[in-house]
This record gives sequence, C-alpha cells and structure tokens, in this order.
Amino acid sequence: MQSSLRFTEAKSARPPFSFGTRRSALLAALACCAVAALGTQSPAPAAEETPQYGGTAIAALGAEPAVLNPDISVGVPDIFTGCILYDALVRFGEGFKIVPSLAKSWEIAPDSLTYTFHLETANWADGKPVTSADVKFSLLELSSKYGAKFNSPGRAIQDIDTPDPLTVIIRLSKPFGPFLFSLACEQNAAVLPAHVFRGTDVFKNPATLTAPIGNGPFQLAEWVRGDHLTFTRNPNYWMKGKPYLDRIIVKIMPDSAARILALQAGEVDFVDEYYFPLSAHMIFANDPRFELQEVSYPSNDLIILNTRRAPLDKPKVRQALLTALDRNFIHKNVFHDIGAPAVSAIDTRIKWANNPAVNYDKMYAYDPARAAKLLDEAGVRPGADGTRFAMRVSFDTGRPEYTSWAQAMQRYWQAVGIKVVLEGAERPVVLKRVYTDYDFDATLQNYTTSGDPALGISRIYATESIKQGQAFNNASGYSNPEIDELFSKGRDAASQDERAKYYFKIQELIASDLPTLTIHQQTEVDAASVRLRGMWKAANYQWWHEAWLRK
Amino acid sequence: MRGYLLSRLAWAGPIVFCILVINFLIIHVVPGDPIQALVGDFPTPPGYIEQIRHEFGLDQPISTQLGLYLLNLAEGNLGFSFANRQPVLGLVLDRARFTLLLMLQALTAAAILGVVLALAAAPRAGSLYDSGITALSLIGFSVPIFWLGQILVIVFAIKLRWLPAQGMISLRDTPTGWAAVTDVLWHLILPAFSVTIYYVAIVARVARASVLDAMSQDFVLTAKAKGLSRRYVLWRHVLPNALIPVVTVIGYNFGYSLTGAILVETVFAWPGLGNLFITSIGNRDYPLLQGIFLLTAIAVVIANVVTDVLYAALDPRVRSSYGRNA
Repeated sequence: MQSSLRFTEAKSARPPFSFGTRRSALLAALACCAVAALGTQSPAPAAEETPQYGGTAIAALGAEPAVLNPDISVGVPDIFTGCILYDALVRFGEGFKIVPSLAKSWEIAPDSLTYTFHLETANWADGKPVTSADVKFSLLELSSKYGAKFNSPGRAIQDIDTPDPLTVIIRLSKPFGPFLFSLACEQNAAVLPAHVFRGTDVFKNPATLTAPIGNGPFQLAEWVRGDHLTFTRNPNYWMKGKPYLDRIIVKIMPDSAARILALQAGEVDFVDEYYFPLSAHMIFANDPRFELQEVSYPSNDLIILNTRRAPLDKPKVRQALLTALDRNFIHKNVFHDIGAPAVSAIDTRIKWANNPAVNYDKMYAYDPARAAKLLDEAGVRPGADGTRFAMRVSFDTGRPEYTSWAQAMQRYWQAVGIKVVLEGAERPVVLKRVYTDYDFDATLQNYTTSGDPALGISRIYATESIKQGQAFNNASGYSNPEIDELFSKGRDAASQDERAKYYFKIQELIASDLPTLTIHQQTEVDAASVRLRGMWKAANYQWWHEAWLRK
Repeated sequence: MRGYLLSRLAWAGPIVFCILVINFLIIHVVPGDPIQALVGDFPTPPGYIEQIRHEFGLDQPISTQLGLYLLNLAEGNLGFSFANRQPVLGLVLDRARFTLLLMLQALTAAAILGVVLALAAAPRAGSLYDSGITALSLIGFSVPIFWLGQILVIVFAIKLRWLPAQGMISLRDTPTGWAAVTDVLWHLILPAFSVTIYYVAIVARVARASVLDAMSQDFVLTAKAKGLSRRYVLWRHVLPNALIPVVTVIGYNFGYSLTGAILVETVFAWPGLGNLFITSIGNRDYPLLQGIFLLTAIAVVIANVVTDVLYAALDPRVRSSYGRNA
C-alpha cells in the first residue's frame, strides 16, 4: 500500500469556484462568527478563591441517560451521570495526568505487567465497605465484558489478585501502554458494588436502571423521566470535606437552542461540551457572565474513504482528494475557527505521540492543479463530460457542521472533476450504511482519540478493527500489516518514549497511504455560569466533588 | 343516538388494529439500527451487540416480532423501551399527562377565543375591524411556533426576566403544595401562549368563514325579516349552523394533541410526549414509538367519535339521517 510521497510547499490558491450570493452571505456570516470567536480561551483558573459549601448546580444534557451504570455504556448522559455516582481507581488531572482517586497510590512493576493499587477506605451508599473484591469484579465481570472503552485494556488483563480488602494486584498478559489511563471512570472502569451485581443480569439490575448504590460524591435522589435527575451530596463520601455542592440537577433538554437560552436566562449553570453547539461559542465567549472551557480529550473530524472500491483503492487518488481540499477554509468557515486544521493522523494535542515531521499543511497543501495531476497519474482521467469518477458521501445531518462541511467538500472535489453525491441522513441510517453495509465511498465522522492512540486512533486503521456491523471501527477496509505491527508495538511498549517511536513511524505511513483523511482537530467546549467554580474539574466528569457555587 | 354511538365505536377497533400493524411495519422498514443507536460511539466488546439484540427480541424475524407485539398488547403490555429501559405504558402515560396539561388548555382557549373573534369579525366583514382580525389570524397561523417560542423566551425570560425560559417546575428551589401549582402555571404561560396563538388563528379563520356562510343563508334572512334582533339571530341561528366546521377543526386537533406540541415542547424543554416522540425516533426505539402511535391513534379515534357525536347533537339532520338508515 506504499506509495511515493511528494512534499510541496503551501502556496496560495484561489478556490476553484464561487459560492452563490446566498451562500456567500452565509459564509460571510460564518466568517464573522469565526473572527468574533477568536481568543475565547477561558479565564485564568480561580485557584485563589476559597470554595464555599452549599447550593444547587444545574447541568443541561441533550438526552436522558439510558442506564446509571458507567461501565456498560459509552453514551454521554450515561457516563456523565454514572461518574457523578461512582468513582474509579484513578482520575485525569490537568493535562490528562493520571492522579489518585479510589486508589490512593500504586506501584507498577519494571516489566509493566503488574500493577499494585492501594485503596482508600470508602463505603457504598448502603453502608458496606468498598473492597478490592469490588474492583476485581467490576473490571473483570463488567468493564471487560460490557464496557466498549475498556475492551482493549480488558483483554490485556490476565488476572486480578486481592491479597487484602484494600490491595488490588492487576496482572497483565502483555504490557499495555495506556493501562493506567484506562482505569478512569469515563473509560468504563468505575468501581461498582460486587455484592449488588454479582449473579444478576447487569442490564436489568435495579442498580443499573433506577437505584444505583454508589461510592461517588453524590447519590441519586430523584429521577423525573424526561425532565431531570437530582443528585444529592453523599454525606459519607470517602474524601473528607467534599463535595461542596448540596445538589446537582441534571436537566434534560433535547433542543440545543433551548439549552443556550436557559443558560443565558440563568436557569442552567452548565452545558456539557457534547451538547454545546460550536455555533453558540461566540454568544458566550465575550460575555463575562459565562466561562468557556476546553475539555476532555481531543476528537478528530475525519473523511473515511472506502478503500475497497476503485479508484479509492489507489493511494494516489486519496492523496489527490486531500490535496484538493482547502482544510483551512473548512476550519474557518465550517468549524467556526474553533479547533485547528489537522496536520497528521495523530492529534497534535497528544503531544508525546505526534510526529512533528508529518505535516499535511506542507505535504498536502491545497493545490487543485496538483490534485488533478495526481489523479491523472493514477490513471483516473476525465471523461467527455469532464468527470473523472463519482463518489457518494454519507454523513450525519444531525451534526450541525457536517452538512456545510459536506457541501464545501463537494465543491472542492468537483473542481478537480470528481462528481460528489451527498447522502446526508439521520445518524442510525448513516451508521448502518457505513459500518454494516459498507455502502459508501466516503463518510464524514468524528472519532474521539480517547487521549491515546492505542485507545482511540488505532481502531481507524488496524486490520483487527475491520468488524462489519460494529460502528466506529475501521470502516475504510484499509489493511497494512506493517501498520498493524507498529500499532501493536505502540500499545504494548512500556515507556511513553518507546511508544512514541512506533507512533511516529505510523504517522509517516498513514500520511502516504491516507485511507482516512484527518481533516480537523475538534475542540470541545463546556459552557458555564461564572458562579460555578472548579469548572475544569467539574467539566471532566469525575471532579464534581470539587465544583462549588459562588454565592 | 345510542346506535349512532355504537356504530362509531364498532369501527374504532378495526381501525386501531390496522393502524397498529401498519405502524409496526413502517417503523421496521425505516432504515437505521436501534442497537447501534443504543450502544454509542465506540466499538463494542465481542458478543455485546448480539446479546442486546437478543435481549430485546430483535434477532427474531419481523413476523415473529409482530406476533409477539400483538400478543403482548392483548395482555396490556406495550413492550419495553430500549433507550429508556422502562416499560412503555408507564412511560407514555406519564408523559402524556404533561402534554395534555399544555394542549387541553390551549385547545379550549383556542375554541372559545377563535369563535368569539369570528363572531366579532364576520358581521363586520370587510371593515377595518374584520381585516385586522383576519390579518392577526393569518400571522398567528403563519408564524413558526418554534421561532415564536424562542422570541418569547428571549423577550420575557432573558431580557425582562418575568417568566421562566423552560421546564415545568423551578428546579433550584422546588416549591411544594399550592406554590408548586402556581409554579407550574407560571412555567405554562409561555409554551401555552405559543401553542394557543396557532390554534386560535386556525379556529378564528374557519369560524369566520362559516359564520359568513351561515349569514348568507335564507333562514337568516327570514329570521331578520321576522324582526328578530341582530344579536339573537347571530347566537340562535347563525352560530349553531356555523359550528359544524369549527367542531371538525377542533376535534381534528384534539386528536393530534398528544403529539401536536412537539415543537413547543422542544423549545421549552416541556417534559411531554412530543419530546419523547422526537428522541425515540432518533433512537429507533421501536416499542416506544409504537406505544406513542397507539396512544395517538386511540386519541384520534376518540376525538373523531366525540366529534361525530357533537355533530349529531348540533345538527338534527345528522341525527335524523342516522335514524332513517338504522
């Protein structure tokens, strides 16, 4: 699958088309929004403020949780509410540093195969103690079996020993680079009560559905279906003096405009990034009553190409497709200038793994003439009507930016003689078409990196991730044994430096083969009232015990 | 009259049954996989999807699923919502209460206000007064509800801070007792206003046209010739004759009232059936969609029966024509 790589300097080129009047107006408006949204980073952290006790914070989500069990679902509402109720062994600190949670300390053996955790003294909501047996049961019987995000790390676990109630020894069959990272709540690794779940059907257990028995900072007090969930302070929380808030109310608001208006009206204090539209960024960015916070691990907007189909099976054609796109224009006008154009298959924000030598801006600078030449070289020449070939592009119309993105892409690709048929549809339709039926030429998708290439990026390219019927895997059908091996080594190597070597090489190979075009680095932004303090921590799911309200 | 009612009800059963079967098939024909919508944006562990599919009976052929659905339905079991992990019946009835609270008052207010406006406008047809009412009803009919709702929120909730922007109760300081009732009414004002405006406009337009029509009839001329007062003619002769189309319009909208407030419920985060309906379409939550369709179908059928009965009550010709045929 290797092909020759040509490095070219970026050069300015005018778009090969002109938008109609209406579209120009729209794009001009978008551009204005983009300019207005510049410099919207959050204010400096309020570390000097003294937290105050009491109060009710209201967080808006776009959907209701299906389950209150953070180990068996990856749904945003499920993880959001589940990680208010349950703690895991570790949490993410700032910069995605792993910091203690239920595990107060740990040791990792030099061979990276044995992890020994020492637990805090904590209780379940029913008064029983949290023990090493709970950790073992949760990771082996729940997270590994039902947690999509814990799937890979779960397979690396050989066994778990529990020499005493407060010591957990996890033995791996092979080193797994991001193992510690995988033990956070939002990675489907919360510690759940073994005495409640053992021997039951986890999907039908009342603790999953309506009556969770947690170990986290808050407990479920009320669930008014379709409206809100109320969580009250856990008076026996293991972390003394926490949490600060009396209550967190999670308000269910399916309409994004309603969420924004409620935040403006002061009826909601917090809107989770997943439910905060990028287009609303500018409304809040310059309003001192609100704070915006970039959160969570990065995600990328991708164009996945179906490499099973000609002529997309030719790397040169795929290179041409990337060269024909002005990713800067898309970034500024489609994504409101928030985030950044992607320059490699591994997000630049995962600094240790990003290869600075790979830069799509230089390798595939927008150049329609060069794109046309690459297509010619690949033997894909224009027919009598000027069309080289036709492509069907599948995308989820529910994502606000994706329709504009698809339209921009259509114009750029048509300019080099590729007929583009846009097939926008609802999410379930697109997922079936792309991941089950493979009935697409290109699809626009957003994949989270999960903060680590082994967790979120290898699935886009690895042969083992070609699983028909399973969404968010390798949909391109691309298979390259060399890359597979490098991803395995990158996952299994013990040190970050060693892992980085493999990922650097992977980026070079992908930059040449391009089965998937990484177009944009998405920035996810939480929006909150400035009254709600401890914002970063609250925003990252597992730190609600640190959030407090300024009176 | 009883025979008339019974014949109407006898038709209702087969109609609801047909609706059930057709809805079931339509929902399953729509592309999209409910399990995929359920499991989220990450590859699942091996066997997980199959387990869920089996758990919800989605690995069975459509005919088996339909048979099971009908059997369960005969026992009063509407199924189990995939996405909400709850029995459908409880979920749907629970939400229907909130929708009815919003819609019943809106339709009642619309029926009264619409007719009053029509009675005020029609006798002065062509006057500035009439044109004003017609123009207002045209605007009320044409303004998109979701847009109106957002404007109302911006003006009354964000700028003036007089009324709440969304929801049904105050969450931060939840009131109890009578204060809770007042609180709900307070939250009801903006969504109710948004939806009422639309229905007032519809009723007023139809009622004005039918009042005008009735006023041009010979019996009105006769009544006037007999020296009856203008007001008496309007109330005693014109109104009963003009009400039939009005009853049709109101009855029709009552039927759809359970899902008729989707946009308003969405804009105001009102926890009703319309909101549930929208999310269950996105989730391809088949049992829940079928439950909502069933409830809507029953509501439409009941509204039609009530409308027919009202026709008979309003118009002796309907009663007598039925009596002759029976």
